[in-house]
Amino acid sequence: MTILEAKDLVKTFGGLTAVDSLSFSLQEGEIYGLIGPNGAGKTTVFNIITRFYQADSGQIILRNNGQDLELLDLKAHQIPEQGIARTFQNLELFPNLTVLENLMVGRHVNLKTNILQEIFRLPSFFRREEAAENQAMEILDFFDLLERASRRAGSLPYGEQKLVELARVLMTDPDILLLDEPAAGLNASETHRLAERLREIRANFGITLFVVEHDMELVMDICERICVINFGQVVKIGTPEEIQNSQKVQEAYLGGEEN
Amino acid sequence: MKLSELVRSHSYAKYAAAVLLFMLVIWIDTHIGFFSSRQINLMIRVIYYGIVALGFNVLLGYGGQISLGHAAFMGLGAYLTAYLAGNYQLNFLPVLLISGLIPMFFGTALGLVALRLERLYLAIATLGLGVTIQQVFQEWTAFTGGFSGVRLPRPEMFGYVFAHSHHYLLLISLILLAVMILSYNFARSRTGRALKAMRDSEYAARSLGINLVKYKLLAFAASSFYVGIAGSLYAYAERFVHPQIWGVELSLDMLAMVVIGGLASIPGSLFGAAFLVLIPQISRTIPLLNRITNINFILTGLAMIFVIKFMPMGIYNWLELKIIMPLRNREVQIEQRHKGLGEDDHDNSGS
Repeated sequence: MTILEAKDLVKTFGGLTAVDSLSFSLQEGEIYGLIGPNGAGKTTVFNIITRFYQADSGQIILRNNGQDLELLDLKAHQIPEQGIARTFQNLELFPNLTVLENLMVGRHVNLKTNILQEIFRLPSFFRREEAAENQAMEILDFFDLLERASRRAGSLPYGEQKLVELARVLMTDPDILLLDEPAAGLNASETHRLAERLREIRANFGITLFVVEHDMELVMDICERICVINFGQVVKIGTPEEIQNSQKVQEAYLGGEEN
Repeated sequence: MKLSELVRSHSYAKYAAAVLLFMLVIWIDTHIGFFSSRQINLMIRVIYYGIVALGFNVLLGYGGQISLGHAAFMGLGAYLTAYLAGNYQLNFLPVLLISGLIPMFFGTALGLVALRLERLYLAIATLGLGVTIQQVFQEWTAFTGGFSGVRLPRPEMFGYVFAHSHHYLLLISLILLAVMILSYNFARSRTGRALKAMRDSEYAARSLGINLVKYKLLAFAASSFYVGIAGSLYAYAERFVHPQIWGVELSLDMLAMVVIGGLASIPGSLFGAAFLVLIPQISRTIPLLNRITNINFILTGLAMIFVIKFMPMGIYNWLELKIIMPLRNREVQIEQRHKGLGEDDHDNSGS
């Protein structure tokens, strides 16, 4: 069943067309890859879906419980409420907060305490705060980060910071997770472990994963379907085998002969 | 849940203990008179500036927003207090509340400016607003008395008049404690975390559903409320409000208190306030320094440079990190060795 569908997205920056009538759709529960050479417009697509950028035209339909929702009508901070959450290519942690606090911020939308409950510490505050904290601990445990909980996030090594970002985004209870280069900066064994974890995330939480990644081995390993784009246009959509054997894809990456 | 206790180990029980101990000392002093009235007045000043610094910290330390116009809100709180207490003989508490709420309203309006501006531009815009409001104080003589200022009666609560400055000090110590506990709760909750998240990365905050508009306005509203209350306490302490002091210098002092004492730190705010209040007093007693005009500004500036360069987290956090924590950790390690516990299991809840 289709959960997210992009139709004819266009985004230009001045004279440059970064995304050019792009259409694709995600099936519920799949791991979907978005690849392409540098500057192909991958991160721009993420930024459009999460409303950091305003698309020039097109539609993004979220199909949730049989209801269609036009994401382009929402503001950026309303996207997580709809079950869509993202990570960033250049790691956007809250470096001065502890790891646990980072995760608790991830719970922002679902943690329903108001400011009066908070400053007067009413019983409902403790109940909800504790529930969120327990969930954070479970997720940290899943990432083997339990003993890092009270460390300042900015003081962790890079690989662990990437995991914290992933853990934090899971706190939003997403249906669809947009991962922008989750393996960037990781070594081979960390990447291998990441692949396992992404599969587990899908299996345990039933989350649809939408992955932008340059590490082809990882993409071919975990993705069920892949969309290759170049100059903001779809080159090919298909299974990893189809992508690997496609002449057009090889040309996009290596540069085909001119005419 | 052991780890959550570890994170929460900075319980506000120790704030309560410290403030109550201080109050006990002052209460004993009402009978023996060890402190001079000048010293008592200095303590009163440290406390209301402490509340100013706590408020400014909500804005700058937690929210990452800047304002150089907050002196005007303190002045507004002071004038409101003078007006309400002088003309309507209202009680201390309702006056205090109104003197917080009306500046909060103006602060929210200033926050609307903050939505469009960042950093230096925001500083300049808020500076302009602050100077404008100060002009209004000078001109609007019906409300402020213009350059002759306004006098106001002693604070009165439930029929009791705080005629003795010791008693007033006890009263505002309690208010300080309340403000500290509310700030502590605020900082360690969804709202406080959202502010800190916004400070650290606006992108990530938005991507996690934090409405930046709402939290920027909230930072300005809350900080103006604190500062307005402090203005009210100022008015009751001095019992005279004049337009001269609500200018840029005071706004810069607020900034200095927070930077020197410690960003996003509650005890740090008090440290910063004490520093800014005591520096002029101390420099006055040093033979050579007291001949230099404006030595306070020079010393404050030097202190800011020194703190930013060598202890960017502020004096209090620096002390805690470099001196208190190593000592405490050593105790914990020794304790663990005795109990044979692993790192995850140790119960460090100091309360």
